[in-house]
Amino acid sequence: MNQMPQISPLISLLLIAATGCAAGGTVQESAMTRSQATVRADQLVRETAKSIDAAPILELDETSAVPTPCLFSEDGVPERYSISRKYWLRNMPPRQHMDVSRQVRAYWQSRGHTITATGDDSAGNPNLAGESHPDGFILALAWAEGDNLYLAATSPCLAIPQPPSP
Amino acid sequence: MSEASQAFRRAVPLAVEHHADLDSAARLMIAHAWVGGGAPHFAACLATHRGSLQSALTLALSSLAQAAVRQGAPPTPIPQLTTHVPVAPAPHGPFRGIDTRAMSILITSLDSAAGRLTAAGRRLAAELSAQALPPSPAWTVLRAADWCAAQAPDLRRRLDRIRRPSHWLPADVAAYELFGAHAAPAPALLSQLTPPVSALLSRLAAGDPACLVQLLALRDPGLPAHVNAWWHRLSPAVQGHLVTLHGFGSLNGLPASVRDQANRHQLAAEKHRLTAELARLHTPAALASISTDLRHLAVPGALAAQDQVVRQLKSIAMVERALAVGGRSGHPPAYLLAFDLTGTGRLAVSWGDPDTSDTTVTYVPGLNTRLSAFAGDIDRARVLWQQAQATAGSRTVASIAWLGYDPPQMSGTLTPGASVAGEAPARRGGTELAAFTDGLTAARTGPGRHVVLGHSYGSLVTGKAALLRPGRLADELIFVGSPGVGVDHATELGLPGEHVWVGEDRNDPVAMLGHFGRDPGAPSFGARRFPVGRSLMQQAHSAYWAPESVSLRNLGAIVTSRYDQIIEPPSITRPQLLLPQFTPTE
Repeated sequence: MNQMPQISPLISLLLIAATGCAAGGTVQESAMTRSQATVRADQLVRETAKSIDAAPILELDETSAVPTPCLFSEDGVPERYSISRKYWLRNMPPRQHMDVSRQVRAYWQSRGHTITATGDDSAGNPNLAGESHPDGFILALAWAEGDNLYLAATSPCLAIPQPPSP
Repeated sequence: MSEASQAFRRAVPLAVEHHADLDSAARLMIAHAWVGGGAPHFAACLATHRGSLQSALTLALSSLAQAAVRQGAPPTPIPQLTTHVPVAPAPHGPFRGIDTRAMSILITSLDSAAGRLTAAGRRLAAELSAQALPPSPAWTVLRAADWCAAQAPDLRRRLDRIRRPSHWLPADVAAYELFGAHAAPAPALLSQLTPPVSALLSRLAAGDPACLVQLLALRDPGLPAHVNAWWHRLSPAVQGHLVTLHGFGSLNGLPASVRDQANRHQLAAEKHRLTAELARLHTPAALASISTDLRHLAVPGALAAQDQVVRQLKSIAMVERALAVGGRSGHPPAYLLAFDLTGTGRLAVSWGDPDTSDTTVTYVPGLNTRLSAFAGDIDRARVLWQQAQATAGSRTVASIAWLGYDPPQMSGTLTPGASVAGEAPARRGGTELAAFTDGLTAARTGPGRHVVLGHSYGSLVTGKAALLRPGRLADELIFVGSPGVGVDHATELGLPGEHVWVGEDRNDPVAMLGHFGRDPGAPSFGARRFPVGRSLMQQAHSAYWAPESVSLRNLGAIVTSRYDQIIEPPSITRPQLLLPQFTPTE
C-alpha cells in the first residue's frame, strides 16, 4: 500500500539524510597531510611490531597502499581519503600468537592508545582493535585463516586536494 | 497543451481503470478460497503485486504530472489509486483445503488480470518513454501481469487434478500438490513457463531483440536457470552478437563474465552516443535555439539537454574510475553486472567473480542512492572484499555493490509510492533483488555461500526479497543501520535466527527507528547482534565500512562464516559517562 509519511520518523530520516546517509557522507577530518599520515601509519605498525619478542618480518599488503576514499563529490569524484598501512607478520610460529596478542595490547596501552575491541582468547586466535592516542588512527591486530597475523593502522579522513596515486 | 500534459490526461483513466485489477483475487483469498499449505505465500505474493501495481500507477502519474509542470502546466492533482482490502492474513499451518468454486473464480480473475495488465503496462511504457521518463513503473505493471499469467495455469492444473464432487477436499488428497506450488521453487513453475520463455529465448537468439525487453520484464524464479542453460547451448557467433545488444547484460542468469562484457560494451556505446550528443548541443544551431527560447521566455531546451548529457557522462566517468581499480594493487577483477543510465540508474559492480567464489556478498544500499552518487557504495563493497578476503585464507570472496532498484530520494519524500517513509520502493526493490539473486544462483559453477547485506532502507528491501524467496535468498542476512526489515521476527525471513545478523551503532538514529516492523536490534526480534563500535552521531549511520574498524572486521568475519573471530568491546572497567561526541579533546 502507499503510505503517506509519518511525521516523526520522517523527520529523523531527513536529519540523517542531511548528514550523509548515502555512502561518502559526513566525515570527521584530520588536518594531517597525506605524507604525514603515511609516515604515522607506518610508524604505528612498525613500532608495535618492535614490541613483539618474536621479531616478525613485515610484509606490506599492497591493497592497503591504495588510499580509501571517505568523501565523494556529487559526481562521485573522491575528495577525501583515509591512508592505511597493513603489514603481514611473517616468520611467526602459531604457538606464539597469543603471546603476540598480549605484547601488542601491553604496548598499545603503554603508549596511551585505547583498546576498542578484542577477540575471544579462548579461540586461540589473537584479535585486537584499538585507537591511537592522540590522533585517532584505527589500529588492528588480526588473525587470518592459515594462521597468519597482520598489523594495520588507518588514518582519519584527510583533506587531500588531489586524488593521490597508490 | 504540452505533450506531457496530454500524456498525463491519457494515463489518468488508464490508471483508474486498472489500479484495482488484483483486488478481486485478494478478496477471494480472504474468503478462504485456499487455506493452509502454500496459501500464505501465495497471498503474500499477491499482496505484494497488488501494492506494487497501485504504487507504480501512482508513481507513473506523478512522473507525468511533474513533467507537465516542467513544461509549464499548472500542478495537477493525482487521483487516489489505493484501495482497501480487509487484512486477514492467510494463517500458516498445514494444508486444510480449498473451496473449488472460489478457486475457480480466483483463476479466472488472475487470467483476466494478466491480459488487462499486460495491455495497460505496454501503454504506460509507451507514454513514459515518449516523455523520456523512467519506464520502471510500467515494468512493475508488466511484472504483475506476468505473475498472474504464470499463476493461473498452474493453479488450474492443480485444481483439475484434485477436483472432487465435494467442495472441501481431504487434505491427504491435495496437500502435496498445493503445498508444493508455492512453498518451494519451481520445477513445476518452470515447466509452466517453459514454452513461452523458450520461444522468447529462441527468437532472441535468432535475432529478434524485441524479445529481450520481454525477458527483462519477467521476474519468475525459474527464469535465470533457463537463461543460463540456454546461453551455454548457443554458438560463439550468436553469443558474440547478443553481447552487443542494449540491455543484454542485465539478463539475470547469464555468467558474470558475459554480463560484464555486455555491460562494458553498453558503457562504451553510451559514452560514444552522449559525447556525440554533447557536440551536437554545442553546434551554432543548438546555441541559437537557446537564444530563441529565452526570447520567448521559455525554458531553453538545449540547455536542459546539455545538463542531462553532462551529468550522464560524469556518471560514466565514475563507473570507469571504479572499474579501473579492478585487477590492480592486489584487487580482484571488477565485473560490471548491470548498467543503465535511465532514471536513478542501474549499476552493479562485483569485486571478484560471483560465479566461482566460495562466498558472494551483495550489498543493498538505501535512501538517496542513485547512479551518479554510487561511487561510495562501490567502494564500500571494495573495502568489504578487502577485509573478508584478507582473513579468509584460501577461500575466495566476491563482493557486489547493487543498485538494482529505484531507492527513495530525498526529493520524493512526499511523493506517494516513492517516499522513504513508505514501503512501496522496498517492495519493488525486493522483487528486483530476488530476481538478481536468482541470477547469481543460476550462474554459479559450483557450491558457494551467498550473503546479503542491507544498509538503512536497503535492509527493508532485503527483508522484502527474503519474503519472496523464503530460505533461498541467502545463507546469511546482515542488516546495518536498519529502520526495520518489514517483519517482527527474524525467522519470518526464512532463515534460522542465528543466520540473521544485526549491527547497530548506538549513536545511529536510523537504527533506533523501528519504523518498518519491530526494531531488528531488539532482543525480541530474534537476530544475532554483532558489535560495530561507536561513532559520532552525525557519522554513525555511514561509518560501518571504515577500514579496519570493529564494524568492518565483524562484517568480514560474518561474510566468511568465521563467527568465532567476531570482536567485542572490552569489559568496561571504569565508568563511561560521556557520549563520544561530548568527550573533550586532548
